[in-house]
Amino acid sequence: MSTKVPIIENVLKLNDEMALQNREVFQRAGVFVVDLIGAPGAGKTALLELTLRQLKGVMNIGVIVGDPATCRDGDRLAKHSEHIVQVNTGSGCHLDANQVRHAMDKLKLADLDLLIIENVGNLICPVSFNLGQNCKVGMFSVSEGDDKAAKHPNLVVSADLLILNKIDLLPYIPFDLEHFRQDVAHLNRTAPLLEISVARNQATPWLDWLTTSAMQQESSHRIDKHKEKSILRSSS
Amino acid sequence: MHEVSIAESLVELIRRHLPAHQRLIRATVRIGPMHGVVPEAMEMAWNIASTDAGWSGSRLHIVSPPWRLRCVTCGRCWEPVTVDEPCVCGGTHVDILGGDEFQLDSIDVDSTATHRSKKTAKSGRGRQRTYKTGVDHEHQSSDH
Repeated sequence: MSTKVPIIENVLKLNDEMALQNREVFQRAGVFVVDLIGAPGAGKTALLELTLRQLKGVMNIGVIVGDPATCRDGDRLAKHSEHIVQVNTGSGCHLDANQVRHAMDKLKLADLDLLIIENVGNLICPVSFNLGQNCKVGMFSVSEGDDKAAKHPNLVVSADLLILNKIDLLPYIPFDLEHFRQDVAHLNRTAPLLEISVARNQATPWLDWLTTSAMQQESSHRIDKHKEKSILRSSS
Repeated sequence: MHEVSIAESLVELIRRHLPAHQRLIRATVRIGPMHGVVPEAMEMAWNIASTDAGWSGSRLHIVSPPWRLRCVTCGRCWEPVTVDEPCVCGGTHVDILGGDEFQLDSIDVDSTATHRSKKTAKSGRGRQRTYKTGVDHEHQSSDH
């Protein structure tokens, strides 16, 4: 006899539960976490190299970097920070919350102000998997073509911030910037779109966004700590 | 190919809900176009994951709801063919009302049969897989 059992739960509920636990660990450590998603070759690692260089002495930054194979990105980033963990996913096309949990165990989270998770180069699969991040950043580049935002609505809709890199190539590549901007605004009218060129060292809006966001997290962490102490005092 | 991860997650989620000693006949999922799931790839992934779980013969029923948008400018709601379709009023911003669904709706179980556990299903046959499972794909129209 067949019986129907109603469920109505998110398909990736188990991943979401683990992501929530990651989030709690990040929050306790007072570290602001960014999930950086973009296609292979968009310039994610180059952006992180620039970020680690430019914010040295301003904040302590860790990176978890996901790639199907090799430690090349991890090696590049390790020249600028000691807080780098490379994850190889094999045939896996995205990072999930469990992989991040194992990677974050290798980091001294309490020493960090900011953790950036550079996801596997892919505009589709990583988007559905929550990792426990505070913000999701979607990165496109001029050389990919101006239709990529419209073709990848999940990333555009769910991003808290969108980046268009390689704007120095605009004079050389057919890319309708206004059309790209409209596609982004059509689906997401709240996320800022930052137009940058990592190759030209023009990424100030990104650095400003990062420092502001991480500082907000830090101040709320301090407030939480203060509240925690107050509660402990009042209960003792 | 995030379908493999999705199928594995589904198996773990179904395990939580499958009553003891009952056989899974069918799982119904509702996945909107937002998630980029390809039914053919999902079929292969489900066949492998469900057979590994000892649920050979079970089916995955995929309900695909359409995109549903609301124009921020004029409030019109419609089902576009593609999500980049602008509103007829010329409005440039939309809210997504449908198309982002990603849930396990229900499972159908055979309460008269004794379920073969994963351990039993694997023992004796090693890791050999048989593909007797399958996927039903249903495009949901607006009147659903």
